[in-house]
Amino acid sequence: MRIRALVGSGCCVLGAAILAVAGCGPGAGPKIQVDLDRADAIRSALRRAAGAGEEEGGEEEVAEPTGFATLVGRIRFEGTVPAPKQLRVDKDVEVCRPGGRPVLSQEFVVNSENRGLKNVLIFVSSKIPSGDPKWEHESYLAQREALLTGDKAFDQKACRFLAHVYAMRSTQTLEIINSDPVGHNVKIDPPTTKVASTNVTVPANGGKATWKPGGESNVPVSVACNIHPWMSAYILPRDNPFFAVTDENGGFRIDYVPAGVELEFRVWQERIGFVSGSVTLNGQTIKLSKGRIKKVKLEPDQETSWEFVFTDALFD
Amino acid sequence: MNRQVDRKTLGSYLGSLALLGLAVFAGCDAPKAQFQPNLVYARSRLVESNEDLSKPEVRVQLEDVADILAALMGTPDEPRLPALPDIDWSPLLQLDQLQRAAGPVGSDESGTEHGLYRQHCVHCHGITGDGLGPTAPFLNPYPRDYRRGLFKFKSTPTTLPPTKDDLHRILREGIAGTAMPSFKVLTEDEREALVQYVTYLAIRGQIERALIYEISENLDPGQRLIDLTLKEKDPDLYQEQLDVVLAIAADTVSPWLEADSQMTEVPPPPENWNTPESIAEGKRLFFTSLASCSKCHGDLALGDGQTNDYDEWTKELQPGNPDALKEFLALGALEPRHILPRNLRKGVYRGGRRPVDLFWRIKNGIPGTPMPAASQELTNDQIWHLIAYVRSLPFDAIALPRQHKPSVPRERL
Repeated sequence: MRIRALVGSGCCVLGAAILAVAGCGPGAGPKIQVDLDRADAIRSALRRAAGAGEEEGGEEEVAEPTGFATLVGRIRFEGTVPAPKQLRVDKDVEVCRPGGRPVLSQEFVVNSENRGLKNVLIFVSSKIPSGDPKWEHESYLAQREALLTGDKAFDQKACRFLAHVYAMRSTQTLEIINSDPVGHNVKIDPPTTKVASTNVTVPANGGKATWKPGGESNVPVSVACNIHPWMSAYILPRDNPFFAVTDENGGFRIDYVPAGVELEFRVWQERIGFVSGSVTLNGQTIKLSKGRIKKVKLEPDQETSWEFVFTDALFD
Repeated sequence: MNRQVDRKTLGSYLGSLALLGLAVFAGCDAPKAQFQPNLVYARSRLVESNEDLSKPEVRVQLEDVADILAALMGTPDEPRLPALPDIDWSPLLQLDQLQRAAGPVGSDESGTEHGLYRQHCVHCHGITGDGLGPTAPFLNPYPRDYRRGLFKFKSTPTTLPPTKDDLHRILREGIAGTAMPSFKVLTEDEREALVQYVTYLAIRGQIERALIYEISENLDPGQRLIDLTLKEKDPDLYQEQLDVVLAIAADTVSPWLEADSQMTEVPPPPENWNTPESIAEGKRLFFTSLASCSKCHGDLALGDGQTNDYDEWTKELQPGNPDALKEFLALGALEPRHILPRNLRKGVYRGGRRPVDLFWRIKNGIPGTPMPAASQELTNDQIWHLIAYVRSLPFDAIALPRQHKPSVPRERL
């Protein structure tokens, strides 16, 4: 009798357990509930803002630059350099692994002589009118809608993108070249609809394709080849021309940066994304959040130098 | 006494049965249908672990996304189309069509059915259009998750969404080789309502992704997408927040409006098309680096050239990283599967078997998958020859069952 009762109540517990587990959503995540009252309030606010945009339009007066400045600098890495990952090259090996040598990841490249950190992006992230002569030096204006070809083209050789991190203007057109004797495809999948996606076959031995981003992104978009899945690169498309990628010495240079106005810069590295944490800038420790260097005002016709030190703590 | 005990036990059984009943029936259907948040994308963009999704500073941001989406696009029972700068919805979506497709299943006095999406689509594609309906885990391929705005079988260039006609075609014809059936039993009007509702769910999902992306790239932890209390405190920032959200929504919608006029023209095939020489030329091209078909579809076109790749939907789950993958699965994502290049020997063409369908596939590639668009250097005539070759493949000797050898019954004895 006791046992029966136990079985009976056991069933009850089982039923309750099923009720709890069967629940609804998939489980592990937080339950995010819509607050319909707040949604109504946001809706009216957005409706007003959408209407207002049409009537007023660019009423705001923004400060204008007083000239142009030059920004140069270098990023050094201090600490233990992680051993680069070896990539799995299992296709077209005679072309893609010349001499049978291991192919290493370019995610984190430190110059062994001067400890310069390669392939770091540094760019002006403030909203700036694009193509406005007050903001852009004529040398930029001339290149605004250029075809990036010749030594600026995006080339691939031995199944590597020669520029692992690349930056361009969203209004420019990039020529993609295949200098390999095997075919590639170039697949660009931006996380934002503002930037055009593409996936196109690029024939061997100098085959070409073009890509025009059409819009900007704050993070570089990833570039891949599906035929050779280990191939990867990043391209940052920006509306304005104020960006640089550090070279093999960790050096960078941005010419004709608008001077006399407050600008925000952002710094990005493949392994960690936007740099967040303490870095040293010209001997002083500063703390970056999402890679932001805020309120930078450069003097016209002056050259400003930024010497960064990134330590291994950033990359933990 | 015995009887009493029995009654007690019976009572317990009945109680548990009632609870089971509750679990089965009350379970998920009783409360109002709700759109589910895209926690997989939030996890991949915003945090390092599922646990961190519940941190208060992340939670407020996710609640912002949910509230903004409800403000812009409404709920499953009450869809909305927001007023957006420079956007005229009418050629793409009309609210009365959406209302007909949305909401619970039923019909009015005139016999017009509504709740079409829940009647015909929801079991596979889910209320949210996330491809996570109850049947989804049992299907191969999985149902489409609309929320990236990516559709594979379409007539427009890679970058652009499909045209209305493209979606109508899929609803009319179904997708061969998959669980997607034809909906020819519905009227043209009903399919129009569904095409619009699928587009609506896609746009809603894309806006959700764009809002999460905005948080991940531009906001500090805990910083809000829209904070209504700023209206008085910091009107400039408040205005900026509203403008950013409106711009995100408008940027998502405009390619859809553009797509309808961007159908890729299909030129007529060359004179000698589909002749033995045309097929031979297609075969030659199949192996060249100009077309690079054999790299993935394999030398025998069995789809065995590249079998360890993933599509865009699956890559988000980091299938190469077991720890991360486990967490995404816990959030409801489906077990990842490799994307296989089509076995061209089977003669099953998901996006349609007409030559024009194959032309679009080769010319523009298949979005969300490794299939690239043809090189700009591959001429249209060459594409036609490739189509001739591809269409011949299922009838090649190698693709047919082993031929029956004539045998003499007596020998067998």
